[in-house]
Amino acid sequence: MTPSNALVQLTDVQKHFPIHQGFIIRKETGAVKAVDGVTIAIERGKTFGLVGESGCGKTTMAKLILRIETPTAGTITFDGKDVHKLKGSELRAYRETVQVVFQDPYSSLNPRMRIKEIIEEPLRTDPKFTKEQRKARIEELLKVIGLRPGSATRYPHQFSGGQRQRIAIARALAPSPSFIVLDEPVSSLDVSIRAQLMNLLKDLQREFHLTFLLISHDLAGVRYLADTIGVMYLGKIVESGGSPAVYGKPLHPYTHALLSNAMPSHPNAPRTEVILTGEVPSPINIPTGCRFHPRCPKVMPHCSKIEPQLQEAEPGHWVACHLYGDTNGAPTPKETAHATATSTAAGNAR
Amino acid sequence: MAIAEQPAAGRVARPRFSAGGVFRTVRHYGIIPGIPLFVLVTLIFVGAFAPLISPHEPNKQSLLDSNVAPAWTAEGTSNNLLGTDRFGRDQLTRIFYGARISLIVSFVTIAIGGAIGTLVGLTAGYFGGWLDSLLMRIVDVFLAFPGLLLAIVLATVFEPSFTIVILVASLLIWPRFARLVRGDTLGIKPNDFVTYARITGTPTPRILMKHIFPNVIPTLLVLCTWEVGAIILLESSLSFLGAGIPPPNPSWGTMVLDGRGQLEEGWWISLFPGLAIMTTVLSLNLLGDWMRDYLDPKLRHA
Repeated sequence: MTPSNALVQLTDVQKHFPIHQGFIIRKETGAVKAVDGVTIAIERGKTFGLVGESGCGKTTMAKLILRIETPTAGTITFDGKDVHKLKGSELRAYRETVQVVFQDPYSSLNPRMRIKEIIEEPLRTDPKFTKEQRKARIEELLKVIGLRPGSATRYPHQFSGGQRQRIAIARALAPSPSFIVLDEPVSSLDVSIRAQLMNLLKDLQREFHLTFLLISHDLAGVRYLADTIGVMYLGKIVESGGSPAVYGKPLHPYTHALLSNAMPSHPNAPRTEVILTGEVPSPINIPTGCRFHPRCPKVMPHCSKIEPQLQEAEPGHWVACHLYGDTNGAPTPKETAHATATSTAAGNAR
Repeated sequence: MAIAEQPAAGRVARPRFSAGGVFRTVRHYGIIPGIPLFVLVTLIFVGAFAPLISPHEPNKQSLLDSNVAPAWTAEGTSNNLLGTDRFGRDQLTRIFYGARISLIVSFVTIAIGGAIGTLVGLTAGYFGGWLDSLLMRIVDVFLAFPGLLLAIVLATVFEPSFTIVILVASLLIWPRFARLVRGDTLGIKPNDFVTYARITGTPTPRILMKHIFPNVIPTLLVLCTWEVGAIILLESSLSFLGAGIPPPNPSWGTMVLDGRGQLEEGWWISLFPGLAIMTTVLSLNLLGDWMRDYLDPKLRHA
């Protein structure tokens, strides 16, 4: 889980939003556990695809990396430095090195600013650029994303969704970042435009040696771009590994379900459909044991009692599920007797 | 707007002003904004150039010419088109100068009250939390003020003056701006372009001025239009009650007051300034209504 060339490293990151109740005397009565102990490493020059249903904490992860939220626990390091302890010139450098492209290109561009002003935004705070250099950079970027130079003086409403998303990408590229968070960059676009945009992203990555964190709920779409996949469920990573491994041989029942519901590459391709029942449980009351057990088609009795830990099922392929390996969810001495009893029972049942 | 939305389509150059252009404009926007706009442009023109276009001096008394009827009546003369009041002052001239007073009072009030209210609204909406609660409770208190009463009290304690009128109007108007701007700010803040500005470390004043404020402007325009009407009405009411613009300044409200005692023998003294008030306020309200619909993106694309 900790390759030496990790650019971004998240270590046991948690983000809990406290819930207050009461009118005058406000008490903390609980917490939304949006991110509940996530450890991932994003390799330099690669794309890390973070996949999960809506509400599983994907976007909160992005916000933590982008410093809009501070983690409740755990650390996020970028190039070995704790992101949330940066100050002064280091912080300014970080803000340029790390950029973001949002999901909705209608909400991410200020409707009252011209395109050139929008792209200039991240450069404004940089004393390295003179006014002329910024202007040259804007023209250069418009060329890179394939918009006419005359577009600079137009307003966002004069462009289509796909063009707007390109503008958002140009803005992200402006300060020459090394890491870009892509928060569902294509999911609000027409299917016909998606491939175009993903190709653009791929080209840009190669050309500028970019590292991507690609957040999406669409497992099939992520496949095209991501080198590494992390599957997230209710604030935790349940499976992670190289893209071929996760797609070729998904281990976690949740990944199975996500993949089986994705469009097949060929209509006649053999597939078994796994339809999950029930709703995603609330991140306020996370189920005991394995957080997926109420919806899991392969649930075993001890799943509701012991939380499985992420473990290396195959080299470089990690999964948090009791179905794999003996060491999984190794019971603490206190629970041993009970846990053994239940697991034997489960074994017999099968 | 329709043209601007198709950047690819070649635009045909056409002369800026032409009969056809006017016709197209009217067909595009409808007749509604035209009439009130015309009234208001006339009003601003009249107010700005009152000394040049007025036939007489606004405060020059001439007791020999007192209570002259309008020109088209049997007793009227062409010297005083709308007649004179009981001091023999020309009504038309005084209405022109009254427009000037109404405009000055409303613009200064909008400048003061609108600026304060916008600032408070932006701050409350953007920062939220206890600051928002505090500011909005203050707004609630001010909205509960009985405006006319406050003005009369102030005018009794101090001498009635321009300053008092503007002060009272500003006090009454800023909370309305604050409340509206706060609401808009709350709606704009969650947009990703604001989040992006925060991510890049944009200083908060710049976020407020460059990202939030420009998106509040359409709402502000509508509110300003309505509020100018309200201020003109307030100024006239105060003047009518003797707590507004002190005589002999020709405020429309004062003029209505002057004619009140002699409605039977000199109906024109009250009627024409009254009509001026009504037309102006009605025009502003109509224009405000139209602007609200026109600037609403949901209605515009329908």
